Amino acid sequence: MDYGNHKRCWTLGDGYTLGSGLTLGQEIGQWHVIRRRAAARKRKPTFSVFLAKQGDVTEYVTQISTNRRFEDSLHEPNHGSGTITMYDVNGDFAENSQCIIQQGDEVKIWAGFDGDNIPRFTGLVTDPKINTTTHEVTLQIADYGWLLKQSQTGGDYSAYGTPKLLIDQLVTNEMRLGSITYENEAGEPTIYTFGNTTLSTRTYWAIIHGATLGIFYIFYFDENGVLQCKRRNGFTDADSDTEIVFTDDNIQNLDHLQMAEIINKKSVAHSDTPGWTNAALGDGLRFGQSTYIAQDELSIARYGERADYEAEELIDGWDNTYDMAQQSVNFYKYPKEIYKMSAPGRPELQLTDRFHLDSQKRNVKGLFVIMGIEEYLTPRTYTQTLAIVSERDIT
Amino acid sequence: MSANFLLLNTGDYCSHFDYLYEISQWTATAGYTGDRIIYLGDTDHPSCMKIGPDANMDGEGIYYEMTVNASTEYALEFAYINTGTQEIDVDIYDQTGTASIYTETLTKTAWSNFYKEFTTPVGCVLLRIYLKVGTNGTDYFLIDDVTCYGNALQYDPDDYEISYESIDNTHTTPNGNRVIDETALLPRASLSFNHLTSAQFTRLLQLKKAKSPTWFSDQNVPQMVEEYTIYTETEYTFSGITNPTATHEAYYTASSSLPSAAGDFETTEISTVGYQAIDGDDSNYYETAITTTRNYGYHKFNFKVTEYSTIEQIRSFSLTYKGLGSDAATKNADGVVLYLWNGNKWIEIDKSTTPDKETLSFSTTKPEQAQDFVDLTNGWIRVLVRTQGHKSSSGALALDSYYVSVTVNKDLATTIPLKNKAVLTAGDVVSVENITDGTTLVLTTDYLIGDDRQSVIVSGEDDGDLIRITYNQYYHVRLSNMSERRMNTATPTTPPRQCSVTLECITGID
Repeated sequence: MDYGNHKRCWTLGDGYTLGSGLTLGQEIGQWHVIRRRAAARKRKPTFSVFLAKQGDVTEYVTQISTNRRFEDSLHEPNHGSGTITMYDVNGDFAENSQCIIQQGDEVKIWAGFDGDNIPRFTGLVTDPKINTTTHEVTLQIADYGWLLKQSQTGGDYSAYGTPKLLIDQLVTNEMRLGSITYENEAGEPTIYTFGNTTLSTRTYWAIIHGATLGIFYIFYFDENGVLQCKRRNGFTDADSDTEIVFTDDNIQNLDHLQMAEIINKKSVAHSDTPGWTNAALGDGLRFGQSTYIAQDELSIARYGERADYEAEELIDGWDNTYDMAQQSVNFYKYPKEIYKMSAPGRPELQLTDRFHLDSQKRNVKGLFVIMGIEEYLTPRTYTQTLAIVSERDIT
Repeated sequence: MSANFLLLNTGDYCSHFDYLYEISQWTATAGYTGDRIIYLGDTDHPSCMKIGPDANMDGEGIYYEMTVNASTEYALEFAYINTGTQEIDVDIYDQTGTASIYTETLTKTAWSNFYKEFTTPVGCVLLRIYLKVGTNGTDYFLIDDVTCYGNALQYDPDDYEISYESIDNTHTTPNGNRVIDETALLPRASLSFNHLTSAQFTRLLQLKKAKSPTWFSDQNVPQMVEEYTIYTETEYTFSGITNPTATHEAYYTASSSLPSAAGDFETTEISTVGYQAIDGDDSNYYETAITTTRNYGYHKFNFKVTEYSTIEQIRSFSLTYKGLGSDAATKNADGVVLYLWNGNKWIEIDKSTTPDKETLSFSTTKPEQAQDFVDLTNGWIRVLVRTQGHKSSSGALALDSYYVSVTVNKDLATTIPLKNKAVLTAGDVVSVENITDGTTLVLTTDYLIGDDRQSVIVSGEDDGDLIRITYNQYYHVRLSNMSERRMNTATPTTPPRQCSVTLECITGID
């Protein structure tokens, strides 16, 4: 849940006193107004759009759609994307019938109600188009992940032997995309060391995917354009819980989309010698093996063999290989269900937020995590379609 | 013959002084000897009309002549500014009856708005708008965005219907509940005329073809109630800053790196002389010559923010930078790039591409956008300027900064913008109240009404006070539909008609 600048930690001297009944560090602000308006039966949606070199372009915008998502699998994720449609009756964005908005111009979108807006998307224009006959400007937009897919790098990264060092170097220093938020920053992102740091030439995005795979993290750009690196199973933490209950009273549609990926047999390639000390009976280790395989017999018996193979150059040492294979099987051995749920838009919702779903009509009940957010905004409506995944298998 | 309803015809006279012919439409009075030219030197109005200075002085000037309908309401509006002690004598003159309809002397020396509604006298078919200089023979005034719109209605409609609509979208839940997203209340008015002469119809068609929004009053428009909070306005400049500074900071450096972190390029603080060069909007400037090949030139400006304790107090933001980047190398990468720190990265705000001094700017009145550029945690607003190109092996590269200024909450300490145009009764709005203090403000003593009737300027109210303004208003409309039915007539080239028009509000009234 993100309430933008409407939620802040209270400190002395910002308009309140100790007599206000506040405790130090308590979160205050007008966040509850956003929440109340979002849940109201009658709402007045508003939004705001900033475009670098053009400034505030809100008054021109007729329609916005955005889509951000992480993958509930070990596959490389897609970056966020969207479309902004503007009506430019005076030709303010046209010069010689060309659009003056350029590829790479930065964009930020806020949404909310009654003028209280919070961030929803930050990124770049990837494809600006103008129709001078209909006065319509269409901007294809993407989050900074698009930029990380445009550039490639490789070579000696031995000075950046941990996920945090490597991702900071690629994203903050080389691509200048700001600081990164790591869950448990002092933990795995800092202490995990790569088995190999002589990198083949790949996109920045692919290297970041490789760097986070080993520590079992996901990554995505949030609504403020900050790269989030989070544990794959981090949503079980209490701070992911929105305390929102979606029922047949406040959703529109709920459709089963697919079963999430099952992995009950994971093979990970490596070039290291197996370390015998952390091996367990049944691991099937032998000298000279170049692939380690972890599997879960119970899951295989129940769902059939679902094998997955991994060859990632950053995961090369024995310990890394062993952990990667074991974690993958432990996390993906039982099926989770993915649903598509549309509802009146709630701007405070974020990727990885957890909520309770209780639909009597569809007979779906349980804790779910948001893994994708599609939004549609116009001056008269705000709709969200969430891709949600059950926190564990629904039994 | 007159109408109670008012629908200003935007097909009447309008000029923004972008083209020379718009100057030629104005005629000099017999004794006027001053300038009557397009003026391109003003930042706020990049193309406007300059009048004066005039050696023959008082009573001389220019006029615009237009045909009008007699006994009809008109509204004259324009933006103006006087330099020095110059003044503008406005004279709305009935050329048919050779008598003044309205006169006023305008003396303001900042861009202001003049707005006057008047009714043409009986028999008046030719009108002159005089703008004359005062007794000052050395200064001039500038004029822009002149409109003189008359009532498009000669009669009130025979049938009139108004509906109060909001455009909505309904989300229906599985349990049958409805969540309704809707816009503000946007009235829609239908006007039907049983008989219009050809001239009256043509006038309405002129409005339809003009395609511009206009103002409409049916004499019973619901009152508007608007509430605004007063916020502290702060302008940040380098006026009075010396090296070493304890408040606002300015740095210069040359580097081959591009902007990455908030603390980048804080290498060398500029000298006291440097601060004095950029402290005002004048011809003085601070120059950095870049001597190392492949380096960009950087000027960095950090403004210390101590006036605001919570980010909610930041409601608007405006930045002005004046400077140039000059590259004498053959690649000619002239110009500068202007950045703002948004809390996570540097955002390119504006750029120039010529070696000339240019004004780069950014402003927003959206609080969420303004708040992105003010770092209250550390108390800074960070502005960065870079030369467009880097230093080549030959040819000089220089970065000159003349002036930089940031204003937070511009005019929000005093000026309350109104969504719609106010209709004044005895020169006043209905009421202006300070809800926080529980007081009613008094015209002239506590508040003034903006010249354009679209703002109220209060004085003496505190930061955080909630002000409620109640006023009579015009509907802000566009003519969306128009249809005619020609009546059986012996005058086929100028037939009388039945006519229907629909007016849609484009600004909500709630």
